[in-house]
Amino acid sequence: MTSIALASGDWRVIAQRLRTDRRSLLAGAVLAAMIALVLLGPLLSPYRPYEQLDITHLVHAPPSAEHLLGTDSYSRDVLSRVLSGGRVSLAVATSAVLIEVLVGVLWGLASGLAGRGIDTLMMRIVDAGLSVPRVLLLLALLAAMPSVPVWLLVLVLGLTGWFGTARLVRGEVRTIRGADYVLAARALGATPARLALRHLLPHALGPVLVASTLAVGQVIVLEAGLSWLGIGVQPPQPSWGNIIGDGYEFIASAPWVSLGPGFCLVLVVLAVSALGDGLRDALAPRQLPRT
Amino acid sequence: MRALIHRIGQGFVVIAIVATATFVLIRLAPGDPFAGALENAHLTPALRAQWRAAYGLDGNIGTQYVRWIWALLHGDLGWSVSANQPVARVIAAALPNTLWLMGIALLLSFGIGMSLGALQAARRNRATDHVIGAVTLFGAALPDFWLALVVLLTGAYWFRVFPVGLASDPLLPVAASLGTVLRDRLAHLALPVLTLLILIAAPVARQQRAALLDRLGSDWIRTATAKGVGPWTVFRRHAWRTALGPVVTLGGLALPALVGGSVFIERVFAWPGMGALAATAISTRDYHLVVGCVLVGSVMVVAGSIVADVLSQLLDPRAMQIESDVSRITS
Amino acid sequence: MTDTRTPMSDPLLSLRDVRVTFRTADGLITPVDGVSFDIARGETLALVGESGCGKSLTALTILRLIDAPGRIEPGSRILFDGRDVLTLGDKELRGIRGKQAAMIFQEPMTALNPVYSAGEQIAEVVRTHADGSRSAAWDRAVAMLGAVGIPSPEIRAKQFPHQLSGGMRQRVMIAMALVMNPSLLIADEPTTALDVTIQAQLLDLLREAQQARGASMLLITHDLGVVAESAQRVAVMYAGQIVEEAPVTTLFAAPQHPYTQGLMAAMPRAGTRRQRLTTIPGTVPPPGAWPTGCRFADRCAYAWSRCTTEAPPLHQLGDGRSSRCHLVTEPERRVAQIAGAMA
Repeated sequence: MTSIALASGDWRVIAQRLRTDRRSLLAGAVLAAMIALVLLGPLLSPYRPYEQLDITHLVHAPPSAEHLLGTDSYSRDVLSRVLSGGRVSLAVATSAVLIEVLVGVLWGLASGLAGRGIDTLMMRIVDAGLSVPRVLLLLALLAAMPSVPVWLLVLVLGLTGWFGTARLVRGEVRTIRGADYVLAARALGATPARLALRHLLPHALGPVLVASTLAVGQVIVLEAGLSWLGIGVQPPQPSWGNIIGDGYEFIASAPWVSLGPGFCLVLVVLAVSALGDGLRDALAPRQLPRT
Repeated sequence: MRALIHRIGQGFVVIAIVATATFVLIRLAPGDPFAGALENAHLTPALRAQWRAAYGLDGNIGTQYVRWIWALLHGDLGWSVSANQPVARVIAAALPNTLWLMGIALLLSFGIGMSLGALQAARRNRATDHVIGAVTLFGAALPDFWLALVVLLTGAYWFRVFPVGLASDPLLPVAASLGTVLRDRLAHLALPVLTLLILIAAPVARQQRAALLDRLGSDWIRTATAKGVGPWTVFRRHAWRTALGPVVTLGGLALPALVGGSVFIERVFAWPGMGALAATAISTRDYHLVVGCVLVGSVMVVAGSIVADVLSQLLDPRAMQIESDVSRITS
Repeated sequence: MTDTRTPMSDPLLSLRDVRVTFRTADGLITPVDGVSFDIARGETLALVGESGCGKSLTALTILRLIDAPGRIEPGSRILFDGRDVLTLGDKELRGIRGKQAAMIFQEPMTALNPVYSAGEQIAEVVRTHADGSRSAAWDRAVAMLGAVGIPSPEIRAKQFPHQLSGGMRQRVMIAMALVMNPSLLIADEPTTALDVTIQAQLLDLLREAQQARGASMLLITHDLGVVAESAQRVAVMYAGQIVEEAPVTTLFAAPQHPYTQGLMAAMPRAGTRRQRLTTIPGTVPPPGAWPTGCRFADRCAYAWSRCTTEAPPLHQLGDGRSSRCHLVTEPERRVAQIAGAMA
């Protein structure tokens, strides 16, 4: 287990390493551009995302100067929908990951600090969570609900994704728990909660940060997949996933409906995972060759 | 041996937790398969109760749970409302297709992924390594259903080389020759297998490369060289062989994602397996079928990871060390 | 660098002006910088120095085991049994490795492959260098395990390194090195990782095995106590160079180089009253940060202005002794320094 010790000053070193890593820079730039694009979406988008422009003449128009990404089966402008859908997709993913991290860190800390019996029980639950394919669990949960508002989707996504974080944090806590300075703090009468916040959590922060960056990419894909299946973000509200889903039925005749949002999805996911990798390298640089 | 029994016992505990959690979550969630039907004014309360009883939906949650677990232990997964058949039979019909698809995909992916990773490690920091590295980084980050769509679009629509979906051609004459049937089967397998291949081979290659480089830097490599063993034997016997454990373990760790991803991939290619079945069960609100799919999927994952664990322990006598290696490489 | 030593007649191993360089981010460093020595047949030479002085790297050059980015510089010469190791083809080189010259590494835990049994790893040497069946190689491995003092070798041979104790693992390493009856043993700190009691047992084992086979040994260590018991001659290394070489009794009786004196003063002696051990102030400067003059100058009690500007050559003192120190040419300084310290 690599435990990455981080004192507060090290963050500058890490930022420095990230700045000098060309791949992370590129990924960061792509990500920043995409975020700016979807945030400024309402200003930039040529049409309203819900507007059916001309249901008789503009159905499945291929990409052109007026409609850069073409139009869909309801004659809506795909670019406008992609810009609007991106806000939803990115917002859902980041909020869900926040929930993941919060629950995972708390669970991991509790389990790491708890006695043997409770720790075992809590970790068995995590094992169970990790061994159920998350997609199946989500399908089961979401299908059982008559309607899925976006906040509920976020909650469900978050509550099915924290197991890995919990295990990670628990591992770090267990590793560091026996360290001298932690023992010293304990001997001085620090309460478990204080111990966790002041001494144990900072150590787990690095790996958690890497894991949650990568998790953002996973959740974007998950949300897109669920929306594509029709049990995620509900139409007419666009998300990248359900736009791809709209296009899937007509993939042979109007592939641009799926390809446009799909391209954005791939770009963001690649950028996020490259950034996560870069962050990991910055936190734990590769060992220098032995001399 | 005792470790194996312990590990299998653990697996059962995990499955029991999964079974309970899935059941409770679904039962607690609002929604009822008869909600629509029950609004039908022609239905008398007596008839409704009869329906509910017939589908095992009467009584309180506790009763239903006990009854369900009891049935589960007898191999009874309940009644599928949408298929109008026992869930077990529906799943039994779909399962072979999934196992067949995944078996082939896993075999090919590990073969190709491990070769690529080994090639990278042997040519580390040279052009070959960098090119394969870039490709696998890309492949490992691609969204599964999106990749499936693109593969379908290119292979079946743009180039029209492969059939659009299903596991076989339904119009194939019954009396078709073995060669024709085989060719038809392979043509239908090609695109979904290709999709899974890209998705699985990429992380396998990355893991193989990382594990090999780790092993190549170890002291026993130098010992072997000092013994006069040739470079190829050193690579094969002392690096590759000792790096097998982490690669196999990765296979176990990747199973949940693989089984989950099959929902999307099978649906894109209309492959009549468990994944597509789960997707259909969802859209028809078929409670017992959903729970059945989740349960069988979990059993597959748990069983697969036990196999992976046992294999990697056989491959490396120091199982503990392997575990820490994996977490170092994958975390 | 010119070598002024008188060559030994027909040595088994002879290193001349061996240099190892590493290309690093900060430029080229030379952790082994012109090392020369000979080992006669049947003789044990101890190579002594603090960690970081380049002694292990020197040992690795003999079988060309330096990994990239390290490099043995052209101009270095290593003659083993009359053959130039550095110009040998790969196949001939492999014929020497493990068969005519064998290495024993410091860390028996990491130096043994964790997924093969002890017996398999010894048998691998046999199979590499000798014809014959797998089972013959295995039998030879088991016999060898018995010969290095492992009880019930048939059982131990089937065990994996992690199932063996540290001392037992090092016995497996030694068995691996001895199984082909090599004429040279290169032991790189063979007992450093072990308990003191086991250290003594293993050193005895090594010495007996070496004497029984008439093999030569290069014994690398930082422990002068080990040297006194096992070696006939000693070469002391500091900062990539040999700074003193002498027969073991002469060295202990009258160390010439201030660094050797420092090492001896830092050595605990059994039987003497407990007295404070002196230590040499400072640490070995890392390669790349070596001073222009004498490399030991900044830690040396005798150092004067000449030492920081002019690098001393390795002065030959006769009777196989040599010292890389300006005191050889200005012996009066030694007296002056001692007098100064007394006053």
